[in-house]
Amino acid sequence: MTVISPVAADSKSLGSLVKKVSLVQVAAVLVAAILIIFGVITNNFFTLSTFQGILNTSGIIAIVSIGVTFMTLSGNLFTLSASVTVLVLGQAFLELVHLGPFPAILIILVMGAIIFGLQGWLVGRLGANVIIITVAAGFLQQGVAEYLSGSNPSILAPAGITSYLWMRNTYGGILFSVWAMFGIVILGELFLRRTVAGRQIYLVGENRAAARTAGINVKRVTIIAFIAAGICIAFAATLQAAYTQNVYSQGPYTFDAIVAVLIGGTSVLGGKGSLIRTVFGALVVSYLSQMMIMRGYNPPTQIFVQGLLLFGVVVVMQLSERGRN
Amino acid sequence: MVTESVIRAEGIVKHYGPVKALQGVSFELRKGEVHALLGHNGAGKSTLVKTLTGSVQPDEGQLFLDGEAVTISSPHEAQLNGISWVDQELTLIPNLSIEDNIALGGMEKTFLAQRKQHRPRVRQLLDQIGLGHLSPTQEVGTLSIGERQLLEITRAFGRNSKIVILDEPTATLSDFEIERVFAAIREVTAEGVSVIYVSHRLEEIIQICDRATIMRDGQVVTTQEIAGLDKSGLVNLMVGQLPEFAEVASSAKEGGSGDFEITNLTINDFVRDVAFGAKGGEIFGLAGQLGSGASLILRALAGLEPKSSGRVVLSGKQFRLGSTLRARKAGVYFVSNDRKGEGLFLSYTNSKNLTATRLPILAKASIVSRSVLKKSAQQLMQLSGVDISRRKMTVDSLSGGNQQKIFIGRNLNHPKMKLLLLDEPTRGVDVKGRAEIHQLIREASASGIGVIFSSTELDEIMELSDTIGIMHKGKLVNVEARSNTNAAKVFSEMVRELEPEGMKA
Amino acid sequence: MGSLAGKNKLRVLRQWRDLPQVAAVVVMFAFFWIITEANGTTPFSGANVANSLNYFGEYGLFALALGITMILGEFDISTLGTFALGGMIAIKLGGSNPWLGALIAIACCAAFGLAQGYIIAKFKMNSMTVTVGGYLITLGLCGAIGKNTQGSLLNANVPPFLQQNIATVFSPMSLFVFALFAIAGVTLRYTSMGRKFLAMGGARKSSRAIGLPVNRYVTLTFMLSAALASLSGVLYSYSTATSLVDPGLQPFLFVVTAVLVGGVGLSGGRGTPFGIACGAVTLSFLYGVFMTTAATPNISDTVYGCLLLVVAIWSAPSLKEWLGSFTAHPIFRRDQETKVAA
Repeated sequence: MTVISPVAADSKSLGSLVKKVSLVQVAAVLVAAILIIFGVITNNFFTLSTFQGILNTSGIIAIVSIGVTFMTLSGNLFTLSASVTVLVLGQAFLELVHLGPFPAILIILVMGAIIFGLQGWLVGRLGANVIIITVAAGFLQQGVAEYLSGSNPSILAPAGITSYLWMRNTYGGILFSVWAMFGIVILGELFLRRTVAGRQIYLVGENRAAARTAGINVKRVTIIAFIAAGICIAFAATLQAAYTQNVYSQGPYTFDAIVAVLIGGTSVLGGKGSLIRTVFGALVVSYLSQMMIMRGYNPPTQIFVQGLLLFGVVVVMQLSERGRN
Repeated sequence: MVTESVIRAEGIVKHYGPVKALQGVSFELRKGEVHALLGHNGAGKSTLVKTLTGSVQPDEGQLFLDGEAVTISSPHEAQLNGISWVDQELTLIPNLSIEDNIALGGMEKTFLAQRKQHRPRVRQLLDQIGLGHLSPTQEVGTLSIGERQLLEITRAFGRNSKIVILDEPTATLSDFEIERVFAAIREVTAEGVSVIYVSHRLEEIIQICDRATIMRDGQVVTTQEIAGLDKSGLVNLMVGQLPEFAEVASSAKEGGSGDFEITNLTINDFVRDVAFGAKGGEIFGLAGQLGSGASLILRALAGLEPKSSGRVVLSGKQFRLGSTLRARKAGVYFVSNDRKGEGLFLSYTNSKNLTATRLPILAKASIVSRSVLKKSAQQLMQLSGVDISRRKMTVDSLSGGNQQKIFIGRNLNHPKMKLLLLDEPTRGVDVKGRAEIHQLIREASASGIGVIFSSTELDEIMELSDTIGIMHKGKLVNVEARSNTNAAKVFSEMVRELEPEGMKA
Repeated sequence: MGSLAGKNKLRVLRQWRDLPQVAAVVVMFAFFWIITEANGTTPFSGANVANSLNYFGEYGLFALALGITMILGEFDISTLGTFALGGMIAIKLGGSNPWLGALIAIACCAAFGLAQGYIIAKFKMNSMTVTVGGYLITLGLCGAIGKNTQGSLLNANVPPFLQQNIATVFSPMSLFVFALFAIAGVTLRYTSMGRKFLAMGGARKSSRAIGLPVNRYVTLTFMLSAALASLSGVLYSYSTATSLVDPGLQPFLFVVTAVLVGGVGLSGGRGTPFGIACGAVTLSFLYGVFMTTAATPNISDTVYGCLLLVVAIWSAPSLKEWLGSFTAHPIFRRDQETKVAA
């Protein structure tokens, strides 16, 4: 039945708008305060070398997180197999690097696009559940990774090839991976804000049904978002392989990336957020890790603290967005 | 003969901000009667019902149950007081069986499900409503819409309530199913249950109701016994509530890119063999009550109904139904009746919403420039009639009317648009906004595109259409030029009152 | 004890809808039999089945935990964390008294689940994302406990007790788990509580509209899922005499596949504990196959991944539409224009 809607309702939401903004801002200020206080009371924390360390350790994880952000923005949550893809593609990179660094990187990027694009098709066209698909894809990739490493528990960098080692150097005190991160953020943001596909990723994430009714090709946009994710993660894989020179175990990328994306403030429901926020989130994760290491917390405790932070952020973000489906 | 009143409302007043939904309404339901509640959209019927079911608290006035003053502060309390209702929101659980759904609607508190014990009662209820061919263990998800509606009604009757409120219960039912509902109503009122029947369908009201209350603008106009009422009298009472329609001078239509022709349109086995057409520059109004199929036709043309078929030729080219992408490609643009769920991006700004669906056009080689977007947004904002200063405000902070303007405005001035479809273009919009939106639609039409809109509101149909097509239960009953017909005729065809006496055009 | 579990299973078998799940069990069992006979030096025996059912005993309740949240229309990723945490707490505290250790483990995890569930219910949150945080919290706790204390203090009698042979194919552990599944299945099917649960899973909005206590059920379900997952972890740790600092995603793969094979839909309101049990038993036999063939991880991981992928695609909502779109292509369609009689 129709309901008569009040005439001058435009200002009515202003009050609730103020409330919404405040909640997130208050929470952000609180978290920042805690982080700063802990930083202050930790010895030797606020030094240039510490911050340099924070920046440098955040490069690769930030790139992975940026990739995941494309998925989140399009309303497809995140992937639970980022670590495996980094592993597999890292191994593949070391196998191919004798072709020259740039051809090898290109091939790996294409592989990443395909691996993620296929998952994107399953999610976008068939409507399969993204969490389950990425877990399944992860195990398939793991099988491949284990096959590649064969009886060797590790793939060692091919001896005598140095053409790609510039990828692990520092330039001006900052690792190449961090410079790459900046580059990717700029390219990625240009993509999201200046291209039709990028803007449509946001629209599909905000309201899928509205996007569909408006004639946007939701399936295609989903696949594009996944491909963007795959390319970023593939590039991170090459950097990781170059850096550590051997690839034998999965890094903490999967969950670190999820934490970075959500802490940065990108909405888990889709349609809101940005790559810049994710970089910020990755820096916070890095800051937190560094601080916990310097305070002597062991890795599981670090995970625990990360979990608390993530839980809190998710709750606050979802509270402030009540009303969206 | 003393007739007791089961529930009585006196002097009910309810405001929603400056809007007066109910202005001192008094209403009375007698024991064992079937009482119709009539009125055009916005008359206050739903608000009155909501005060009775506890969803809404009146600002002033008093309710009496069996003579005693009561306050009904929640739906749960209403249920405890013996009031049941069936409205448009179906509350059946599709993955559960019929008997489970009926049990959930009841108030029993036992630990075990006790399905076997209750099965005979369930069978009895099903027989009563004509669903005896269904098995109580069947999943509700396997039932048709009509069967589900009957089940909802059965469930309401089966709760041993004193009062049952039925809101447009027959919108999705076949004639046979409607007869079953009537039979159940008669059985149940014979046992002392009282029924409030909210509906537009005059032929049904005449058949089943004892009295009728007509509302308009938040007030009760009259309450009458049906028996003594002339059939056409009721029609006149309803139509007589409408203001005089100004004759909108319609210029000769030259036609344009929006010429279209539809034949053999069939949707979901409900809408059958619909055929109509118009020239570009004409506004075609599909008139029909809830469930008549008007809305379905628009959705099918927009590609949202997979089970649709038919031949649609637009601007000389035929396109196949069933895909939103194909429809868009053919130049069909759709403004749905659910602007929040299916139309707008609520947390985005107005400018973003306006340009959201035309990015491919504004872009050069897939790249959009900020200034182009800004200019387009400003232009569309002006066309929509929403204040430009609100460009950066989010859409969900706007009123319903302004939201609707943004929704429609998004489709204006679209170089590729050939046919604009609007489903209930002024739903939830106040009078002033409605006039402005109608103007928008006329301007859009003037550019030569085709416009089809659907509406359940008679005055909107009469004000806006050049040609009127009337839908009734899935069939296109009549197509007439606006200048060849009048409100009474259209209304009676919408409600399918055959042979209206004394109402020749 | 075996007959009780068997009888309950028989009663529930009457539901036709679980037939595919039973078929899956039979097919996988046959596969297991054939491979074992072809591969091993000793003929196929009840011991093979019992060994496979150990997996059922170790992971079965974890599958049930995840499964009940999915039937309710939610998704509890933190069960992976409480699975690990439950086992860890029990092992560390259950040195002298395994029962006490188990009890404390389950109680702690249930408390966590209750808190998590309360937040999800009260603020109407998307459980899939909130429980990722819960997963990290419980995983972190698990690792922290594991690193800070000495190795396993478990009484050496516990594993053999759990795994001793009953009726050739069963063990106390697997029977216990079967019994819990039976209780869950009976509760869901035959109580009004179970009926309301299914309603909330299948049609959340309508359930609220008719006045069902949705928040209460959501809260308690998350408490139950944490408790069941931790109990499963306890059984795992006691049975293998190990505690998992970080189980990785492997157990999650097992239970998600088991739940999907078991017929639990991703949208809620569908599936039964009996189906989940069938799914878990099916997966157990598959694990058994890889155990007897001593397959390398690359093969087994690939097969598991494929199986999950196939099941995920099978459960995908638009699969039918995609398949149907092939026949709808113009070259297959007859011309739909009909000549209208003049």
